[in-house]
Amino acid sequence: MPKKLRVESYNEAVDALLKKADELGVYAIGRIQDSRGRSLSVNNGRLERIDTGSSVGIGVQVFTPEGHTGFVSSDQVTPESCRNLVETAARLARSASAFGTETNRAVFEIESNGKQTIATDFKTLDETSYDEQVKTLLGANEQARGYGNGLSVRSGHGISDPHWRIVRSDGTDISFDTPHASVGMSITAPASGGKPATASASVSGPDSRVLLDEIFQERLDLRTRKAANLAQRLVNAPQIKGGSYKLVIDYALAKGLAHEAFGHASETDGMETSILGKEGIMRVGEKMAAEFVTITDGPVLGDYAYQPVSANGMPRQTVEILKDGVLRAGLADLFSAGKAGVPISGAERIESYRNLPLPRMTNIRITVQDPVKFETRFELVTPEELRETLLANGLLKEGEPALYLAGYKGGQVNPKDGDFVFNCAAIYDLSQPDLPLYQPAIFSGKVLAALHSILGGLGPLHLDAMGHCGKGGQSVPSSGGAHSFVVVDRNENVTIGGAS
Amino acid sequence: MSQTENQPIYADQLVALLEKAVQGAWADLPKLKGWRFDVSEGRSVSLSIVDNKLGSVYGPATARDSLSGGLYLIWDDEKRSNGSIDRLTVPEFEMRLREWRNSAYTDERAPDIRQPDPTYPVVEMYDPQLEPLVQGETELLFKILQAGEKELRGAGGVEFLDAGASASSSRRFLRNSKGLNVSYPSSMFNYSFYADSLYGNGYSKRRLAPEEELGRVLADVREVTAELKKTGSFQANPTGSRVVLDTGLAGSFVGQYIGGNLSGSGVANRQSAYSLDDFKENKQVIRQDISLVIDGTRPFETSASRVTSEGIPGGRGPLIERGKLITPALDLKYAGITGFPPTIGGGLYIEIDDGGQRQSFKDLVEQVDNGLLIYSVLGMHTQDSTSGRFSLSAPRCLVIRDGHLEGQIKATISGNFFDNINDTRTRFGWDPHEDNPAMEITCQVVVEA
Repeated sequence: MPKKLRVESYNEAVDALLKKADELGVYAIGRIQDSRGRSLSVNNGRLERIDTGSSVGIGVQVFTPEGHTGFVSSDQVTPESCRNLVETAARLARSASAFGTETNRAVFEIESNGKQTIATDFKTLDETSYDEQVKTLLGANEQARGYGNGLSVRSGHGISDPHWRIVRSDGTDISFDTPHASVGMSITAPASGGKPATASASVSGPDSRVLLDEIFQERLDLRTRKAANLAQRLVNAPQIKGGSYKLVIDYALAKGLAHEAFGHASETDGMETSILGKEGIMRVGEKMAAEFVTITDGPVLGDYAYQPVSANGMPRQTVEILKDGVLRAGLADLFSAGKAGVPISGAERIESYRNLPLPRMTNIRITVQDPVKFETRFELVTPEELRETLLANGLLKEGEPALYLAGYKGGQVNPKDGDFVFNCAAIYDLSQPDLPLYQPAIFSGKVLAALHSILGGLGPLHLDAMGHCGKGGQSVPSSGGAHSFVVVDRNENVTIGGAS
Repeated sequence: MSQTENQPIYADQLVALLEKAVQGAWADLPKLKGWRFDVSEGRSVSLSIVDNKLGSVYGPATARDSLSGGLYLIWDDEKRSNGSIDRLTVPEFEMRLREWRNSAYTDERAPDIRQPDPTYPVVEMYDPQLEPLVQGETELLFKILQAGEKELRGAGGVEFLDAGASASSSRRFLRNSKGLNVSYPSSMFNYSFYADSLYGNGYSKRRLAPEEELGRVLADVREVTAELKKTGSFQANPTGSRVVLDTGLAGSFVGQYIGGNLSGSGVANRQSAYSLDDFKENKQVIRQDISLVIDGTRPFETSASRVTSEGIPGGRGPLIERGKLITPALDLKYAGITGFPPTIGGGLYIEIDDGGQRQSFKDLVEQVDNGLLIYSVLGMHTQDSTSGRFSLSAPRCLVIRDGHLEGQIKATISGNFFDNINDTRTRFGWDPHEDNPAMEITCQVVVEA
């Protein structure tokens, strides 16, 4: 049964807000957030702390008929405070007009999305037992410490259950929730002759089942074993020689590639300077990758980054940004879609009611046509088995310089010039039958060069590579994936950092 | 936003409710044995230029009010709770108290409530001149950004400008059940300009900027951006190339690789490059002319701190002195676990014993015969600080040849910062407008296409 959303209790404040906007002759968008959260941490077998948090507030953005805008936020969601907020925002918008600020009238050109409630039925925090969470996290931590000698293990578990309500002067009034949860293990192996090394494992989902459900527990355990083994081997691993190689990346790194190298460039607020734009218009119809490559972004129910409605009250679309190698659409918000020449896709997200919406990804994935069949469960694939499968399917030649990059450690991009980086957890040399392990190294390059170099994929789709995106200084959950492995051909514009 | 004179301040209301819980006003709940909270209430205003557009939907004139903080409780049965404070904590106190009790946990090593100290240092953190701006007279923000637009886009040849200006004012209330009662105002004033996604600079302090500062910042952005638009070439040395890390970037390296390994929790739990014994033995871990200090006493700096949220007075003290480990950075819990005193609040600063012969940043660059000057890197947040290893992309590096800047290249740099900070070849150079020095290190460089 869907949850009762807490934001539905603010009817009087909403009415006051919209009425005041009407009186002042401005268009208003109100964004109410009522968020609850809980986090637990365990360090080397001891419960370190439990934190609880809650936050309620509203952001109000107003537009004058000319399209000047002002924004205010407050942690008081009462009729009186909402009236004051609209007055202040309207004053800011009108005074800003004297300084020649940029106008945008897009809000006056959209239709109401009506009154809706889109609530999930995932477990609420009230339905989740602290004792069970503590016991299970302590158990997982203890188990991880047993996967090597002298391992130090930090375990964290967080649940967030934000409820949102977006109201607009055109009658739109949509409430929804975006629950998300994760469990993470950070494993440090002692120096023993080298330097200490840390590796990590995680699982994510919508609620406490990520910790308490047997399916997630088993998945986390397999990933933790792998991370523990890796941390111990990395202690004495050498540095790879830097340069350009053929690369095989796992699905988490492929998500990083899609997110950093392509997703951000497809966000329409930056189209005037994006490499996917020309004179502000998205280069729709141009070939950007091999004809078998598709990149899709859209919300997935139960996913860490699930969001069904945008921060401006527009339905979040699933968008094939790149279809069969051709650029098809952007991640477009209400304010920049028209200028970029693409339809609004409801891509606006915010970290909190205090922030302004920006178009950004939810769950982004790379898919290829006819991927190589590779049924071994992802967590159980060894570098040896991967190498054999690549050789057997013509994606690797014996002795060919090639690296297998495993595990995503985060990335960064400059969409304006197309530079991206991301880091992996480990590197294996696929040209050698004994698959020597090397230290992680930065994988950097140019967006379009990397996409044009995709040769193929292996295995089924995995969409649970979780992270956080920090665009515009706002941290929001992100996720995505690809086939188990994606092969990227050697390209001089895609480089692995290392020894010269 | 602010409390009127007739209303009791929020902190007083919260104290009264917590004291009721100490008295056992809610009979079905255990009594509170101790409590502390740290809450701030304030307002900020901001304005941005995004892709040349002043005050657009992505950066309009903005005002934000907020009240937020954290709370720590000790119950009669010695269980502990950590919770957040927001505007509804007082009106919904009973509900919150029950939630805090539900989340209470046992931690034998958790700290007690700290006795108030006799004094807390007075550090200047509030500029009353900012108050009219924060309360709505935002013309100054427009003028600053428009001046930047004129200087950089008009005369400076910048194609795309991103910029922001903001001011804030708040009052902090720190209370505990043993009588701690510290309350003071603070303010912030910032502006920054980022040109053509190549280079940015700005001002960030707790007081209004001197008028001439804006001109200096804009000139710096204009000049460095112009330099970064020239094309250069560089042949990396296979045994290691000389690389100058600009002041901000050098600070990031020190924070990530040295600061990141000084966390008390990390040290005590063997998740740091340094062990607790290393601190007890004052092990030499970096070059003996380098010290790392926490300093919260610098007036109007963003790092200024009178007291931590746990009630530890501000001040100044070394974490690493002349290359030797002195103490991890410790909260009350890990101070108790490790046996070292708790650490004062403040910023992390590098100090170099250079015998009074402080080298300037300009001289540092001029003495490089063949190397790179790097202002920013991509990927710092993905690095493993425990190993000291780094592998980073530097999309815009300036080539230094015979002390002169000769255009930009793209490169990746890699190495081990622990080795760099022990290397006798590593040199430092100071910019009079920055708190930490630039560093010249030797590392592997791969020039990208």
